[in-house]
Amino acid sequence: MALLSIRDLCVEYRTSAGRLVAIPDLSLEIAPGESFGLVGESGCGKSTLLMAIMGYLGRNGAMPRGQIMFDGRDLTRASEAELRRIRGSKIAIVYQEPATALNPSLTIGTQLIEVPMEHDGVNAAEARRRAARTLADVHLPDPDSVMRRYPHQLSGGQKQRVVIAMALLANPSLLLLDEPTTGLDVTVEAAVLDLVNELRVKYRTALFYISHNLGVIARVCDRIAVMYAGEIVEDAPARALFADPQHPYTRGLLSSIPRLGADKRSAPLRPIPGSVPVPGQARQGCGFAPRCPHAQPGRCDTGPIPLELADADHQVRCVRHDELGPLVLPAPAAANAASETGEPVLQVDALSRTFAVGRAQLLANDRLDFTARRGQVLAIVGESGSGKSTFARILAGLDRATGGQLRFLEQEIGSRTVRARAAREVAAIQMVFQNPDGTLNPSHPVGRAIARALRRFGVARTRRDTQERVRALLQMVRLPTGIRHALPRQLSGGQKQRIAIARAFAGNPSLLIADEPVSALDVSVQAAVINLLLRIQAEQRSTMVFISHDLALVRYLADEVVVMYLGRVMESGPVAALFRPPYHPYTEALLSAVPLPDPTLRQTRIHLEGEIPSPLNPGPGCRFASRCPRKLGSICDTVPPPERRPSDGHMILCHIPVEDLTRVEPVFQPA
Amino acid sequence: MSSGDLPLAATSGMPVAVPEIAEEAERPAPNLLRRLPHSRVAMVGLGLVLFWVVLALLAPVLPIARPDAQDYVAIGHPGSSWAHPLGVDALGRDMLSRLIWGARTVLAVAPIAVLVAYAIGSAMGLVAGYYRGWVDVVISRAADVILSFPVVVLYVILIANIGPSALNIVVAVVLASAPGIARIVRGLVLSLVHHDFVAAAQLRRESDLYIMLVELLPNCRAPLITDFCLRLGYTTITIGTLGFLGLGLPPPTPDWGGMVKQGTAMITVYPHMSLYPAIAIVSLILGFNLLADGLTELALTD
Amino acid sequence: MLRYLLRRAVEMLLTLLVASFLVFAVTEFSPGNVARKTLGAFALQSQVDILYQKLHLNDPLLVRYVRWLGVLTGLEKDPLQDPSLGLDFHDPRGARYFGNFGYSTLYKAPVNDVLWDRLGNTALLAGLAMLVIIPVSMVFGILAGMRAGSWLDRGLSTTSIVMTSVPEFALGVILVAVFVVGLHWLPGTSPLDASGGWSIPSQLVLPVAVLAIYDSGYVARMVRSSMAEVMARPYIRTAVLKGLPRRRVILRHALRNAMIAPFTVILLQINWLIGGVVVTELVFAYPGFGRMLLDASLFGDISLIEAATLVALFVATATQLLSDVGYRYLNPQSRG
Repeated sequence: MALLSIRDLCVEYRTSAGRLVAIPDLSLEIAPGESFGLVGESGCGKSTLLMAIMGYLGRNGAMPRGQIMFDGRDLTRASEAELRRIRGSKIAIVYQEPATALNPSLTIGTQLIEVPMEHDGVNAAEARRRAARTLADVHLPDPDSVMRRYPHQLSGGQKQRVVIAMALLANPSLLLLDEPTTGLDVTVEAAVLDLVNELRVKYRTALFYISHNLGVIARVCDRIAVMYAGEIVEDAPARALFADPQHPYTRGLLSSIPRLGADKRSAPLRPIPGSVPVPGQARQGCGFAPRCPHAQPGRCDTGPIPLELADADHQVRCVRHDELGPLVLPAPAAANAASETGEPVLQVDALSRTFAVGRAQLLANDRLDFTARRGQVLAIVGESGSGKSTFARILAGLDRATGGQLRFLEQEIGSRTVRARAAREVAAIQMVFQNPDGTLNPSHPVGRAIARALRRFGVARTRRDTQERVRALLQMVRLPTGIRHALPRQLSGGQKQRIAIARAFAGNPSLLIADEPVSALDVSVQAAVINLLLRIQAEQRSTMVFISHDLALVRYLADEVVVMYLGRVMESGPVAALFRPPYHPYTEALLSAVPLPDPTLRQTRIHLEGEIPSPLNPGPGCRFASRCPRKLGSICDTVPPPERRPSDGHMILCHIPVEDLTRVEPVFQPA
Repeated sequence: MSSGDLPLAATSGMPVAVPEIAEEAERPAPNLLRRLPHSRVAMVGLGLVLFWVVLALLAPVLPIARPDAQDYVAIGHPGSSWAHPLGVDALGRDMLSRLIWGARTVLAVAPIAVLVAYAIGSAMGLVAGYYRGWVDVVISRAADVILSFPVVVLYVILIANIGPSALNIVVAVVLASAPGIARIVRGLVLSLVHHDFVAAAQLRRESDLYIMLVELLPNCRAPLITDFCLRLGYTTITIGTLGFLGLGLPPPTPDWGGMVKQGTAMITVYPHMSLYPAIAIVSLILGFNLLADGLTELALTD
Repeated sequence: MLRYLLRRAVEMLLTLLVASFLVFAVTEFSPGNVARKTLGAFALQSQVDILYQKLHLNDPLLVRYVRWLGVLTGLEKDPLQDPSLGLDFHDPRGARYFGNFGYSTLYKAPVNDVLWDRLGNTALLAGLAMLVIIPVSMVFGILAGMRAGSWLDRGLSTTSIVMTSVPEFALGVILVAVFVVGLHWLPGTSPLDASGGWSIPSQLVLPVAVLAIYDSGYVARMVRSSMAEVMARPYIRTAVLKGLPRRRVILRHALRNAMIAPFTVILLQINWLIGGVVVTELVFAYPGFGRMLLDASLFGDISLIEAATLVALFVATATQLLSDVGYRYLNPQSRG
């Protein structure tokens, strides 16, 4: 018998603009102990579904039709008192942002003991004992001290462990997880996912895991459903979904995310056109039809499309699913095509940036050394606190280096901010920022930023010329030219990033800095923006410094890679060299943490112990020593590691000899 | 506006035919002021304010007595009559006329004072929030000193020493309000300055003045509009209070606060002489406050 | 914490110094005026000139301010008590002591004899008002903010707005018209002296009502918006979805966070009340600090003005310090 069974559920919101149907008609079942994943992009209704299960839709939400059967009872009809007995005890939830999910003015202990005291009626001492035990289960060292602390005294990863402990305290039979790793660093994410897998067995809890990230879902779930525009479009066992995706949307997602080993030359990404629909739009037929390459008028745009069986246990909502044939992804080329080498454009030489924090020194960038050539993509990889954004700011001229040299086309620029750079130098280095919502001034029409850049860099002098060039730039980024009169709030995230790209290319830069330009975008539009950036960069023979934490993406688009940890370069070299041994142990850990939607690859699991240490006043040894799984001994703490050069242009900063690093088992192997 | 990216073949390098967006299809910006009709509270407030604005504008052409004309006959029976619908005051002057002409005074002085305070306060806040460092310390400390005065005490001391006049009231209101406005603008700027559009402007080598006035200031609009309405209400209270304390506009200028004060001498016999101007000032302040409240609500539901 | 307190105390002292200098500058900017005001309107010009010389009023403003500070701290003698001036100013405490605020020309007595009694009366008024303001605004604000957008919220919020839209002088007049003229329930003046037939508590009702009604509306709006904001926070959702009863969600999870911002606001009402009493005391002829300050300002009683504002500023900055310390206590994040 199913643990949770949702039948014909409709969820809608009353707004000033009328009724907004978030979920028109949804059915699904979860068996006891099952691990069920739901994948979907922003606005597809997945979070609404979780809140509907919890009976927490807010004052304007309603469920006019359907049932949510749990434990023999229909939750859509349950009273507030009945819901209260189920919430937190039978069904618990882990939230997307642990930082805001915890009450800032109560200690962790106070917030934890409430759960058993409320649901199991135990006294405070017993509740405290149970809380400590559960904190130990989520591998938080020293539970008693954690309980005495306030949320702001814990790191992001620790807070998420506390939230998970809180959810497990009453031994729920169903655990809902709402993108619990979004916003966490990759290594922390991998640790949380492993923890979820471990606890699921230990507590015999069924999981309902929602995420936009197929790779993350693939790590945790046995069965996966794909949701688009309020509907489940495909529902299958994990392996079948990845091996034989049926729905064009699922197929589109899988071909638009980089697979490890694929690169831009051998296997270009195939973007899904268009963007994610606004929730609640009325429509006929298939919600994905407007973006679907296989859509047929007359079949796909009329009537409700039923969920059909494609195979035993594999359901799909597409009238054409049996006409499409198997999905063929371009096979990654065995050898990486050699990257063309132009002359050096950017030479970084012992570049440092220190900040004084009270009496301590924060080495945000510590003796960086690398070179980028014309027409190349240089990727800088690292987790938060690695100093990659500090470097980007220095390069762009928004900050100043405190030591070493940064030479751009033979000119020293590291010590000069934009104020001290010539207009020509400023135009030559431009930047695309991470957050599409902050990149454009909310008060100005989007064309204004592009026009201003053209004027300020002296590219266009007259009004007419400016207008002409704005149109040309908008066409270059594949946007309708009329969009220049729109305000940023009227644009989707992908459109905003395209405007930002057009603005960056207004002054014909020879170097473009892209700071995680797609990490805040919906999965299905990321590929289009990436391909756009690469096309313009290739056409203009410009150099691109691409900052990212996504190693699969880096593998796809970079020529050269620099891996940073706590302000220091750990490893650098050609992209192919970084993805096979010898690796730096940190690179190895990063690779093992990459969430891959590819069951055909087996990935070693490396756990990094502890948290990223304080960047203040680091010791003389290796920065990574405190968390390194391959630490040799005290030499790593006390002696600065040597630069090892296993091959031309490949550098590893490590005490371990190259021969030993070469012998390690590769992270990725065919399963 | 059609939402959504257009289909494109990004890797092919082939230009894609891109349809122009028709100009008329573009949605106007969902501007706070333009959405005003959605808030009932705000509309009631606007109605109250407009009621007085219209009366004040029409004062010279309305069939009412001059505000300083004395009707000696009516003094004996100051209550309402055909000639004086709201009665007369102790000097035989028509109450209705004095109320309407009094609206002119307050509706001229309050907005001018608040606007000047805004000009100075915003400039201080922009500079403090954008440059930070010692400039910020100096401006913020100076603001703290002014803000540590109990407001009425500040007004009483200032006006008692520089003398009551329209100009001096404006000066006093500016001195008392600008620091508060500076503090608000500074806070808004601090929250905006880390946005990437500011960095993008710096990467175009825009001047500091351009960044402050064109990039930052327009984004402070929504909270400042609300604060502006609230401050109009406060300033109306201030002008009335000063009039009541005998520090308002010198007679015979009709001034609501002064009228309330003059009426108190006769309050046990003829309460209308105080009550009507009191009700007038309450209605105007209520108008400003409801408008501010409606705007806040609109900004939140945005 | 001690370091923090020390730093804040020094800051407070600096603010007081700068602010008192500003007051000094405004009141004593024109030295001729000082001599004239000290002697009164009927003094001869020759007397004014002599005083001008004796008090060294042609010295720069800053020098005169330092001299004033000297008298205040007891480092210097009050020059006005010099018998050779013939002003007949006597202070039983002597001419040189700490806290010497000088001599009030309006009340013809040392400032210290005038100031503190009235301050006590005002403290009584303000204290009673606070006793009304705090519970009323809390109940209004919490009930309204608990369910933002509900009918209860709309009703209470509109009531609060109406309350803050009635300036004290208008409210005073309206209350007098109703309860004194119309109903004859309460006295129209509050001299704090029962000889008129009205008990002292009955004399306090209307002044307290005027102060409390206006200010409760203001504080209630602050409490409401803070409460509404907290109720929309994700940690409230966490608490609800833990299965906690609504009572516990409100009392344990919402209130403490919702009180952080209003706590500061409530303390700052003490600052507001110091000014607010000016109008109320005038309406009801209440023998308090506010009316004294107003009379002193209108009369040009320089020493009394300076003393009164310094006391008002001290109370204001001290409340500010108190509210900052309280904020740090209530908000664990600011403690680090």
